[in-house]
Amino acid sequence: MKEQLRQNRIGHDATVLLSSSHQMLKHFWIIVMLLTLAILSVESASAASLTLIFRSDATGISLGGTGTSAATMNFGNVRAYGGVVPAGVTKSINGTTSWTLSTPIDVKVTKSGLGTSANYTMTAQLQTSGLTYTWKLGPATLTSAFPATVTAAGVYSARTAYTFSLTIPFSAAAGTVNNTLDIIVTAN
Amino acid sequence: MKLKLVAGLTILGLATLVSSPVFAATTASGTVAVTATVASSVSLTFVTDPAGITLGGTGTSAATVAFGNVQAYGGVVPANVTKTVNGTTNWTLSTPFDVVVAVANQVSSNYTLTAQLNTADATDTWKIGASTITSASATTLTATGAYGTTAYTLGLTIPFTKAAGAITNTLNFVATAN
Repeated sequence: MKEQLRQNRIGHDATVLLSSSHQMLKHFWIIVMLLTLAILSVESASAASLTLIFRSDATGISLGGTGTSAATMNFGNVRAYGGVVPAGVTKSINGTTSWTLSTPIDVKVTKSGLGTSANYTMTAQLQTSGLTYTWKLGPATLTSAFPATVTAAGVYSARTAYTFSLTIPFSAAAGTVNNTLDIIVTAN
Repeated sequence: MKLKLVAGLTILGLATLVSSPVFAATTASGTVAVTATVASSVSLTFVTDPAGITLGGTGTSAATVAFGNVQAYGGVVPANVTKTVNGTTNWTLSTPFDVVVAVANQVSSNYTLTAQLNTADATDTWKIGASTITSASATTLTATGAYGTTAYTLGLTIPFTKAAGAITNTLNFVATAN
């Protein structure tokens, strides 16, 4: 009985191993194709990327962390009437209701491995609800509820200036205003 | 066997396509942290009153009033300036002007407004409304001023005994939110 099983095993293996040379070649090329596809798959997934950085605009406020993707913007002590604003910041009084601080900031997006992507979409969203104030980046009014589209056709590798503005109602209490803008760029 | 290989190849091909940039959104993200420390403030500006002399620097906090060449008897006074001869002792030029006060980022129902002459003038009499203004101390014009526009009347009284010549002085106004 043991002898019979051994013979069967040998017989079964022999069926595969003793394929014709044509079949072996065919299998070889299929394996090569599979491996190639797998490698291409990994490469195509990993090589495509976007980089986003912020830079101080020549006519804007001096950003902390300029040249990185985590910038800071500090207006310091500001007031509607009198006082001073940082260089590159414009203050405007909106009638008897509010006042606005505005300044341009530069955004640079570079692509890698995205040859067919002509431009990018940029959205911005507030990290924390800031309903007392009005936050804007470019034409978009920002909230914490959902990302607002700042541009749907951003130009790669160009330092593009977007004007950030913060509008403060006269009725708002004095104190510190803090928030963070989450910016996301997506290749189109 | 062939079927298995073809199926495997198809699945892998689809996986390749799906993982390619055509299907997978390629994104990057960044943050901008914003900070501002807002302080309360009060605005005081002067505006030409519709019935008053035309102010230089109207709409600003540094206005000018120029009566020009004036005399007790005869002559002319600028538009919207009233000249009054007070018996045999003196004469007065008066005109309304508007004071605009606004408050921001502070809970305040009204304001206090004071005025003081920059330079002492022992000869002429300067008034805002009914209040006489001197350089000695700030005179309170109102302790409950309503935010917005309020018309005040400037009066300058010149004794007949005063020698002819230029009269120049500056009124310093201070508005304080209550």
